[in-house]
Amino acid sequence: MKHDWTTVEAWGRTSAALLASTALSLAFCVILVTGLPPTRDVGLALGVLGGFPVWVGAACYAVLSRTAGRAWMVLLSATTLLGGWAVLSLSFQ
Amino acid sequence: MPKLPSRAYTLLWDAHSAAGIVIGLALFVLFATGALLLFRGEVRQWEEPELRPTSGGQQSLTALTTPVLDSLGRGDALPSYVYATLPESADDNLYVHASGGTVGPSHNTWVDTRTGAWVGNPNEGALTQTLYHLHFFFQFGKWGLHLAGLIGLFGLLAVTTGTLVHVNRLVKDFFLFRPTKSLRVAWADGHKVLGTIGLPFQTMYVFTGAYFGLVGLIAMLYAPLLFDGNTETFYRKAGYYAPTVQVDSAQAAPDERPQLGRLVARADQTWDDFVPETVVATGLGTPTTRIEVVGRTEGPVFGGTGAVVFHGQTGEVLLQQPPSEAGALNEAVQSMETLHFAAFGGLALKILFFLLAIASCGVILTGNLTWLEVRRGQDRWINRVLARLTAGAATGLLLALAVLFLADRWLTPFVDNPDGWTDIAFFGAWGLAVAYALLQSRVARTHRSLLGLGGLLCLLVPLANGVTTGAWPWTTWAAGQWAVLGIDIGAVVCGLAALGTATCVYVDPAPTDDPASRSDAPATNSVVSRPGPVSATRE
Repeated sequence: MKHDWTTVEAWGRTSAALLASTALSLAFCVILVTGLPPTRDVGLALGVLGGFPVWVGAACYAVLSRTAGRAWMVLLSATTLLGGWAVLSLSFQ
Repeated sequence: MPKLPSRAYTLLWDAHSAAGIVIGLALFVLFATGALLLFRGEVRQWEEPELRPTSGGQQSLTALTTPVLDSLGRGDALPSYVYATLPESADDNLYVHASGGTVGPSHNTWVDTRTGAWVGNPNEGALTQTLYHLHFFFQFGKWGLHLAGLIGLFGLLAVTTGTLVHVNRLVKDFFLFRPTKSLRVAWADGHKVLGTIGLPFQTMYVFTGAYFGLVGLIAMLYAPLLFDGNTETFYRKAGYYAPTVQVDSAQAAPDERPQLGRLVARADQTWDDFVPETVVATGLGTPTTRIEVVGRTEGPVFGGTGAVVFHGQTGEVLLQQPPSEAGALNEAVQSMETLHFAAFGGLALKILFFLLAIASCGVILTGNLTWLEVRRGQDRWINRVLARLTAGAATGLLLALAVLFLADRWLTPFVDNPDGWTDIAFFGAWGLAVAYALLQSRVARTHRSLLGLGGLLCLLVPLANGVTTGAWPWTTWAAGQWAVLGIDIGAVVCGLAALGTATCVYVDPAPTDDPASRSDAPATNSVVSRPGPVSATRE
């Protein structure tokens, strides 16, 4: 490895890259069909096509972020934001 | 191109390495089997002499399916569900999947479109089916499929991080291949050159592969949100089936058979350039039989499917949805289907994709070998295991594939259930190759032994085909059985290439991959060309 990884950093970033990024990509897929103006069919297509790049992007962010804690915080915040938006959209439909 | 900051570069490099090492060998298996499955129709004709093309015209769909459905229904009742993939040409085979009624859970058959002869495979076994299932680890059921999807997703991560790391020197690296330098440099150059050549191909395949592996989970995510928990609706929206339509009970006698051939011909005439691809029949033998003919517009690669739905008893058109009005999800998913299954561009594109898939296998192997070469001086058991596993799983796959083809030909006359035995022969040979590699301390010798043996066995494939079926290359040439001839020639080319590579692998007689048992001399125990005047130089 080129970077000098500590054990905590390695586990923290890896778990963020695997778990938090998955949560964010799922929230992204859901918000596209529940809370955004495009029709559901377009939202579905964007979710199917966009979910994987969002996952990869979030995983890259988790690797590149300043600290593992920051990676978790940013990704979970974004997930909560999108998830909350989706829940509100579903509640007011 | 902008240069990455040093910290970002090292972190992305490590992410690329870690992702590549974790999924590398599994992704190798996916690409290797995928390369062969580009020609699965041809392999099936090689495997099943009854399906090899003969002279004569193509029979109607009704004439082809009636004996199959009668036989599967055992004369009592038709299967309640039938899914048929229509042949693209007279040399292609008709695929019929039937389930329900007296058929049992499911049954797959392939029908010769000229003679009407058909063969059925059980759920496990058979050469093509073994390869097909291995392509998405279906030996482990649906979780194997999802695992293949996850590997595709991690492959996307590896491709993305690898591209980001090299983005500022993609062009320079593309022209940089120095096989006469140190091993590390040679493997790294090979990795980058092959990776750059195949970048769009690999990106497309890991992306679409991730989708196909995970689509079941994606459908489960959307079903409760949009479709009242019904995942089938997701697949209808995605264009695999026609939209739902009400089918009223017909007055006609329930045992009257739907004329599938006529219905497909009517669907064919519905829109200009509409090409029917699949026929789905549900409720066969009941007054509410429904026949869906799903197809797409001839020509464009990207686009969705259209469908015509008929009442199976009355022949009344219940619904028409032209391909031009396909929804966004239908267009997106069906375009991915076309790309992933190389259902465009004909034979030339399949050959190109085959070569790119083999190059992708090369990218994965050179990546592993670069990783190992960099860590050559480290006394770590994990590196030794990875080196040996790479030899056993990757090089051993060639040997196992040759055994699979040979077992399919030579076991058939001698055992009651050849399909099961071919599975045992394939996985047994592969397992033995891995075990041999794990026990063998000289990794280069493992590569050379497995390549040599695999190459020799590949050369026996046409011989086995000729002896057991009489289809010698000159016979298949004369009969115009190009698929069978192509597989035989492919096996010979593959065998010669493997033997040629084996002769180039240099095995140092002294050292092993275990640093504890090595002398202080620089190690040369890895896959390497025979040292020439310059290539003996090592870092």
